[in-house]
Amino acid sequence: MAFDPSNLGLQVELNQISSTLHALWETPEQRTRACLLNLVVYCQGTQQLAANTELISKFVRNHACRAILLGDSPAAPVQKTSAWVQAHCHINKAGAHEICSEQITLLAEGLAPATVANMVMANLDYDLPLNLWWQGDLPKNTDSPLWQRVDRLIIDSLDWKNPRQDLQRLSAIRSQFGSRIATADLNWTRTLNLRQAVALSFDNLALLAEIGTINSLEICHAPESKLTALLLASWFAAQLSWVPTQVNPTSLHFRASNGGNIKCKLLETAGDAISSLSVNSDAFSLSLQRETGSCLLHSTLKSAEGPVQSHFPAGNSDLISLLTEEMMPGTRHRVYLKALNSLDHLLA
Amino acid sequence: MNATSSPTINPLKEGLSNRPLPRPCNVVIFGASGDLTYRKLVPALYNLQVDGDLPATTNIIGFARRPKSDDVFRAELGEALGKFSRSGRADEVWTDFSGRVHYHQSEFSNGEGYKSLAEKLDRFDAENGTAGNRLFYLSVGPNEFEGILGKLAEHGLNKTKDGSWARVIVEKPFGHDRSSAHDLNEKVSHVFAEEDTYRIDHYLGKETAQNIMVLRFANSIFEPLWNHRYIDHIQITAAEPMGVEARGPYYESSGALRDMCQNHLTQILCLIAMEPPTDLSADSVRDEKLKVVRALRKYTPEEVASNVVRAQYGVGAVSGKEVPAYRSEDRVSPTSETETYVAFRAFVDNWRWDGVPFYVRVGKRMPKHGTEIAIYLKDTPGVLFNAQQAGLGPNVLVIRIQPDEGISLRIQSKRPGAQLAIEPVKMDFHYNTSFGKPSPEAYERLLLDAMAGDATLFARRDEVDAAWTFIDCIEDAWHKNPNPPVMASYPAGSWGPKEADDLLAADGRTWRRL
Ligand SMILES: NC(=O)c1ccc[n+]([C@@H]2O[C@H](COP(=O)([O-])OP(=O)(O)OC[C@H]3O[C@@H](n4cnc5c(N)ncnc54)[C@H](OP(=O)(O)O)[C@@H]3O)[C@@H](O)[C@H]2O)c1
Repeated sequence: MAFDPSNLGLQVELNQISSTLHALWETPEQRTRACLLNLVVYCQGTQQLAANTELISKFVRNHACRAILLGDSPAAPVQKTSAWVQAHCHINKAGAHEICSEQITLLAEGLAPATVANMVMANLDYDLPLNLWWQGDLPKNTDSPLWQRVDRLIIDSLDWKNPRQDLQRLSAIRSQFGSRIATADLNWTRTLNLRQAVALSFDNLALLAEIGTINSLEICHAPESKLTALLLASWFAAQLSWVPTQVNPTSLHFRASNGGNIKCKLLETAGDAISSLSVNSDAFSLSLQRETGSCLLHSTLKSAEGPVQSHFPAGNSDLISLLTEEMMPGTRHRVYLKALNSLDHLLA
Repeated sequence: MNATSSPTINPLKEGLSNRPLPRPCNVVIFGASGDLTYRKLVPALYNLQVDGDLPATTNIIGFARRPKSDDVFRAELGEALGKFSRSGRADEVWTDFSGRVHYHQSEFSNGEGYKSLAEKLDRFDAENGTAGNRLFYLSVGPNEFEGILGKLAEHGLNKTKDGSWARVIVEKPFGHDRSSAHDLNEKVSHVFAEEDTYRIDHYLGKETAQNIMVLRFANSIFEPLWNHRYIDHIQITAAEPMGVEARGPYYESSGALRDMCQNHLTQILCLIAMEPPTDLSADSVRDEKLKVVRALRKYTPEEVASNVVRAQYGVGAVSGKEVPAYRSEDRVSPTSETETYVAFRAFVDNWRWDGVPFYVRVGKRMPKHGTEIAIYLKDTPGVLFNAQQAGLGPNVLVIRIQPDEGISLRIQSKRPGAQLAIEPVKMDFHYNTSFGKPSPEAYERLLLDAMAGDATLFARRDEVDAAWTFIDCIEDAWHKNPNPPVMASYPAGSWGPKEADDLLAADGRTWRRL
């Protein structure tokens, strides 16, 4: 498909980005520029630029930022750079003035990673945290100065074509930068509402008493969402100290610290990334289900006391909702990192 | 299942969210046809739903006297939402939300009404898995508390099942003085334990009020200066252009001191003056606030006369419109001795605040609406710039609670040019523009916290008690003293009486103009 830059704003020379942005704010209109963070969105080529611009225009409603959208085509035969600028504005209260965030789009063709990194660095808003949303497989080389400045790396592990390799690269990034770079995996956020619902169900003290007796899980996932299901299983394993003993394409086996065995069945079903989850023991069974499109998770707890039905929010799984949730300040990823350690074993 | 050897910590909850995560519950609002429900409570619950924070199966039951069907109640609330909800009204969300709003008609004193309420709640529990979790909101005057609480207890509605909770939120005014607050607390405590009692102070739910602790304890720049060595004085102002409107009888029995100072402004003062808590748990924070209230200097009647000014508004004009004097307002006594304005000089007698005056003023029929805290730093030494140009003002850090929540810092700066001219400039931070989205309403945060069982932003019994002790010595000097200080007056639409200006002038200071 031919590249259509029509929603990228005003095309400018690279060295005129900041003066053009300044000029945007000199207009007499009642507009306020707001900026709390830098969001750099990295994607390959030009294909995703328009869709990412749409995402950014929605994202800035909740997170005022300087967004830099970078289309990178390192293999292009001719070296070339192009740039566009635009403002995304919205009115936040009736009668109040418009709040705007800036987007710079950079297209880098045939350039070395260090040159691309410099282009981005030159356009960051100073002194604000840098969030790098890396779309697709992670890079082999993270030596450029841009990576030195990253505060938060946003990924979506569901996009990974080679999960084992990407997990290794992520682990290399973690050992290179330590806890300086927080990792936010949108695929992990996809499981958030399910994890919350399960966790809140175990607030019931009688159920909590039986948590060590869990002997099976069943996760129904969409065909393309197996990695989401594996992340969910990894979370149980990490939080309940289960050790993987056997990994098959449609089942996982764990041993609990009390010696008990746990079997986790993975079932492909069309629909949401995860359409249902059940957690079972001899004493109870907890099942959570989401009908496609519903905003609720239906939960049924069966135990000797009889069945109890309840509902939990299912959350939204569109990228903007996931990203907005991930960008909530203070989200700590200790639990995610623990789950990743378990995931490593499950990808065998 | 048996819970004998239960683990006490739920390992699955680790790191899940830094937002409160309430369990599904039912919310019962007593006084549901009242102004507060329409203007604040239901819009707050609705906006929680919009933001995905309201548990999906929460039912809201409005309890009030006049006959009304569910449909009429929903239609009225829907109309009010259009006016009072910060996010307006989205039809899809409203349809889902309003389907879970119910009207329950009964007199507060009628046992049958509670019996049917209990049945309704049990039915909702069974249908929706709300597991017996109940939040009772007493949006009624304090004279109704005892009757309602008694009936709740009589029908076992304060009792919980295993693992569930029942909580009560009580509205201000919480008592009339220390002794009535004590009685009220006793009555509540017979029905709900202290940890299930949430005394609401909506000022604490405001973003800027919550930001005071963040500003102080998450920034290394302020805390070293936050003491008597660097701070000259602090001014706390709560001004509103409104008069008493339709609330004459309530205001007559209350007055500005009780209505605003015992709760809101004392809470704000505590957040400004408190020591860093050891952690962010509700009790650690409230322990530190309590120490501040207890350290507030209690005045003798003579000291009240020289440290506190009370006044009433006379005729005047607000926003270009003539308005009557307080004593001519609807259902206000023509010889009323109720203050509509109060200004006082307070001292927090502890190490940090030794000798630093806290000037507090609150008034109705002021020229504009605004609540703010201004922290005046001490002047720079009288050499260099301060010697050359008389009256270089001090640095002032202003925390605006409402409207236009934000923070500004006044600093001195050189005016561009060959001449050395110094002028104050303001560094301004506005919540709404900086974060690109409006702050949630105070009631949203407070309702969510109460559902999630976090009492940090609610007043604890001992705090209320200590605040009344401070207020009572002023009220007693006014009302139980053979020679009470005079009641000053100010024209409506002015910034208060001359006596209040004199209070600061005596210390060589002036009130900030908002
Ligand atoms: N309004 C505010 O902005 C505000 C702000 C802060 C604090 N507050 C406090 O919040 C409380 C409620 O305020 P409000 O302004 O909503 O009061 P309101 O408008 O006077 O409403 C009172 C409510 O109580 C009900 N009620 C009164 N007596 C009853 C009885 N015997 N049996 C059954 N229902 C009865 C009324 O029902 P019917 O209409 O059906 O008779 C009405 O729903 C008060 O304590 C007030 O001080 C209010």
